Amino acid sequence: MNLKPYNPFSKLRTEQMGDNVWKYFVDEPFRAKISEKPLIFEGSRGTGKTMFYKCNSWQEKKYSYQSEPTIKNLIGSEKHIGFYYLVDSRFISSFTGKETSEKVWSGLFNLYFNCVITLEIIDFIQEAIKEGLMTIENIEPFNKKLAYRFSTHNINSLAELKNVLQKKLIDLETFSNSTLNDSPNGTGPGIIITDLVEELKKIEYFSHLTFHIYIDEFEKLLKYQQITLNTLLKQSNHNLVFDYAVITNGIKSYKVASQEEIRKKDDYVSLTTDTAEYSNIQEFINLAVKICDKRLSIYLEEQNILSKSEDHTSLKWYLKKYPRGEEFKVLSIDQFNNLKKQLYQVLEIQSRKLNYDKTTLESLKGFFSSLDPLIIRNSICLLLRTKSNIIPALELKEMIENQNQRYKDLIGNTLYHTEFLLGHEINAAKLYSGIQTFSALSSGVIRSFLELVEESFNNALFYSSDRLDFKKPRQLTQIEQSDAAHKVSKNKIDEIESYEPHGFRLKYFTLALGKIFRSHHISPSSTLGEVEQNHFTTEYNTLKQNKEEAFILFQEALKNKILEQGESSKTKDGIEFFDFHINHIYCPYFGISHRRKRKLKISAQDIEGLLIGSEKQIESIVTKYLFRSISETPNLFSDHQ
Amino acid sequence: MYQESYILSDHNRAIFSSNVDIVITDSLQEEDHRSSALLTKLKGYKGLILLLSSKDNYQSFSYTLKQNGEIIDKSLNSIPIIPQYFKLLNSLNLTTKSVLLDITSMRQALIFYSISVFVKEIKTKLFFVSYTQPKKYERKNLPNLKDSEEPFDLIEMFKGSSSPVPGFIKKASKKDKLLIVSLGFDKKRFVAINESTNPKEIYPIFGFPSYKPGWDQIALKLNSDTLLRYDVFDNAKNCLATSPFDIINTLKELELNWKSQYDIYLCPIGPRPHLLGMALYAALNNTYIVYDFPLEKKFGSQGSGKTYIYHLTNLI
Repeated sequence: MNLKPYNPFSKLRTEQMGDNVWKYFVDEPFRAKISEKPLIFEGSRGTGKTMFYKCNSWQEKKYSYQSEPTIKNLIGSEKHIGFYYLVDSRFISSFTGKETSEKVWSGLFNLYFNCVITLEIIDFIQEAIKEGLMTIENIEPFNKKLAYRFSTHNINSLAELKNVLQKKLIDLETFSNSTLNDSPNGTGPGIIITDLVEELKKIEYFSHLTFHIYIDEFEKLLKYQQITLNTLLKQSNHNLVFDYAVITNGIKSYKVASQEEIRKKDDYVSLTTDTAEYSNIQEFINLAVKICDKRLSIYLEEQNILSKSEDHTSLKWYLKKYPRGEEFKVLSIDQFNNLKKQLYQVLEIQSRKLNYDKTTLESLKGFFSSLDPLIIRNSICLLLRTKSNIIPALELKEMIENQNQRYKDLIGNTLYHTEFLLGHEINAAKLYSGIQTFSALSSGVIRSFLELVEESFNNALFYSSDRLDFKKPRQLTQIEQSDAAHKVSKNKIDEIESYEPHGFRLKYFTLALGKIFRSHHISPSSTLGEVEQNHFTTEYNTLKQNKEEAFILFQEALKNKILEQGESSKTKDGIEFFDFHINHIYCPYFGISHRRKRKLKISAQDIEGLLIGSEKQIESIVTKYLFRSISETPNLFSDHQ
Repeated sequence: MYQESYILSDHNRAIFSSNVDIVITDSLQEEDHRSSALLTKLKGYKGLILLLSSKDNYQSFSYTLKQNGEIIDKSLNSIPIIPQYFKLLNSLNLTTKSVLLDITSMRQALIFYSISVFVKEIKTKLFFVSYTQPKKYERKNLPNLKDSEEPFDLIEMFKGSSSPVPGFIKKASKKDKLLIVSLGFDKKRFVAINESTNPKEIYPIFGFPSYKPGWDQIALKLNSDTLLRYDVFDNAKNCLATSPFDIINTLKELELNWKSQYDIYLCPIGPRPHLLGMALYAALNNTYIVYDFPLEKKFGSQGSGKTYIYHLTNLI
């Protein structure tokens, strides 16, 4: 049975929204980014690039005038009119080789691009004619010019114009399938589009408009094709602007045909969501919540459900934040006895060192064993500290009793790590809840946030004994939210294998990193001196310059947002380091912290081994970086959870 | 639909040996019993043998042409499939010949282009396609990969499903897409292809009955998570794994129901006879094909089983 219609958050991709894209769109915070200057929106998959450009195209944006979605209304208050184009990679990546020169292919690509964009604009013209904003005569000079350019008969109608362009596209298909056929004549970059826009700008209604061509999935273009479109981007002016959406690291060249380059600020505005910090900033959280609230309202309206309280249309209310550490409130007798046994051992060792008498020891045992299990486990770690870092049990007891600042600082730094440690020891899955947590887990990827919300609601709507009914709404339980976090995390790990072309290798790499970080979270002998090691630094330039094959895969890891790049830092020797975080959505699967705390240094050589080494090499590198006192057999692929 | 297929045996091998003028097959590789199974079984065959290979399984190939064990023509280097493969076939005057194309171990790019050429460009006197089924698939040799449910040693690397398919290069339209995917043992390929195609609707097809009892169940189990995730379990269909005809009938039915609403995209990542059926159907009906072109791994299977010969002259 298809359950999706019953979940307000089930549409995760723009393509799934059919003809209703606009109604799901939240135009903040990027509203002002469309301007006379080209925009390059760079982000990993699921960051909303397609949604953004589609909803800024005229077909969608006119629906912002709900009462009368017409072009007239749209252009009455807008300065920018957009045309959306999704790169047809299966077609245009065939424009290469086959004993045909790049010069010829380049001309044919220009012909193709001119035809497909002109066809897009013709759809707009067709509607503008219907609305009485223009007539076919307005573009007569363009039609004449095109007929001359293509050596074809006179073009007297939009249908004829379309036919001429579509015939060119069929010629291109035929030639690409067999280059023994005659090649169509190529054109210059963007000339037909420019001709048409020039004619349209002469029409009174359109004279104030800047025409935008939004090119989505720019990364799928061949290098020479990107260079061609870079040329168009550089030539953008207040009449016609070319904007791109591109996956992180998807730009193969910044060059233009004249060997110059396109430059940020001078030539284009850059918008990127792929920084390690983005998921924590309020802008992302606000956007994610607004998107969900909008979907919730649409759903309730469609179902004719009148909400009795504003809360019931707010994601914040449903995704209740529960106190941390709930999973440790009730331990079994065996688990608690084991914990006490560990505690007593540590106290006895320290008592011998510090010459505590028997009475003191017994009193300490009594005090510490009466605390919450999580605090007991945290105390065990702290009591394991030695030499100059030693914390005497009596002193710790006093700190706990008085809750002084030093203890608050200690707990602030170490308690979260303890949750992973104790969770591992008692086999309790980490609990997650609340918008801030989901936001942090999503690593700035809107689709990941939506998946977390969707799964949480799936759990409440379909798999709960107290099923959520929007007519009598309730808040989602911590288990419903946590199960969603673990499920989405596992799905995302599984998904890595499908990242073409190197998914198989990238999955090994991710599992290896997860195994290393996990070992630092669950060491029984941890003193919590270094907590929550969940990212790494490496000699990026060495990798780039000397490890070519590995660097390609490393870039793929960044492109697919398996890794996020943080700020760089330089050593005294001038060696450049960057911090790299694994996508936080993987953290529940590995049972590691998603907070940005401590990092490990992994050499470029070992990163190379993890990316392209044999199974044995990978395992040996992992062993090297595991937390030292872990005695388990270093099997990469076991024991994640 | 007219269907004619044979299992190659002692009773009929002489008929094929004497009635086929040219066998087009993969370059024979000693380690792969299946690639040589057809010619081993066709004892006494004295016609032309065109051996093909494609390292990149995408845009280039090399060939050797043999007669009576003697090499009579050979490519010196790798050459582009388009246009050189067509030139080569055209030079062999195939319109007067009976052709047997063995797809058992042939790189998929060459199968697609061959089918496209034989359907659209070169009409042969008779046209057969053969396929030898495997005895078993190799088990995965990985260290306790607890998170992977794929038990077989399958492909590690792909050219990618955004690549054009030789002979089936076609501009995308603005219509919504319906993806019909023949599934096998490699669920990651299904996920990747779905991601790159973004279909509105999906129809998964399983090879049933399969080569061996239970293989269909393995394919179903391996893909079940993904089917659930895309909510397409109810759309799943079964087509005989050893035949291209059954799947062609299913494709006809689906296209009849959905053509007005969707562009149909065919994706053959399951059994090879399904790949053949989809390629034939796409060439005859100008349908889209999407494929990911596996690289590197040569032999995912062991041993050779029955050899099927499909007579397709009427179809093309």
